Amino acid sequence: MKNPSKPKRQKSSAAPEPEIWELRLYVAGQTPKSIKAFANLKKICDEHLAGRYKIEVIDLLENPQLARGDQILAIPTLVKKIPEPAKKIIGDLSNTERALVGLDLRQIG
Amino acid sequence: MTKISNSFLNFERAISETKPQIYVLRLYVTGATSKSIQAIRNISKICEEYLPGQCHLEIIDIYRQPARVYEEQVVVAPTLVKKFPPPSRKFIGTLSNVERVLQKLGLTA
Repeated sequence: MKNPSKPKRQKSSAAPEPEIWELRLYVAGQTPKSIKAFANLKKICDEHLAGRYKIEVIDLLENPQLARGDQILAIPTLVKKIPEPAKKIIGDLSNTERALVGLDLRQIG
Repeated sequence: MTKISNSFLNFERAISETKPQIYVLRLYVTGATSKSIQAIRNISKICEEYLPGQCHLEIIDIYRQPARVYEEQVVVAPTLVKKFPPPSRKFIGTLSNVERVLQKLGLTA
């Protein structure tokens, strides 16, 4: 049985620094949909993660070697790397509520 | 490990350059037949849901303005013509297959 992953300990004893979210958006060139996904992602981050996010945009046309390794099956795909657990969201993120749920920023129900 | 290029800045530039696109649509109908009414209702719904404030929809009744069929070579009604943005597209029928219409309008992958 796997051990559940333990969160990293904070080094300082002061109030814990807000965790920096690491998000990766996989696209294939600049298409209307990928641009829309990027714009929607930025909007969601600015509204819900102001100042504590990092977005990487990985264009598979420029990094074709990544498509298979990272198991990207659809474009665009957003991957939340940090905080764990990693999550994947497919599409242009226009359904904000669903994106927030997928990113664990919103409880269901 | 090969370097992964981050296209974040390229996409930032892309969204700052993209203005909200106005869609110019023309729906040719034959009076108030059941199909005409369905088409009008369906396209109005699509414009409200997916193109709020971005849609210029003109409804042309070819019973009242028969000469207008020549401007787009309309041979059957209802016909929806997307004039802008390019490329120009024609849809025939009641537009009840929303997914298909959105695809051809370029509003979804």
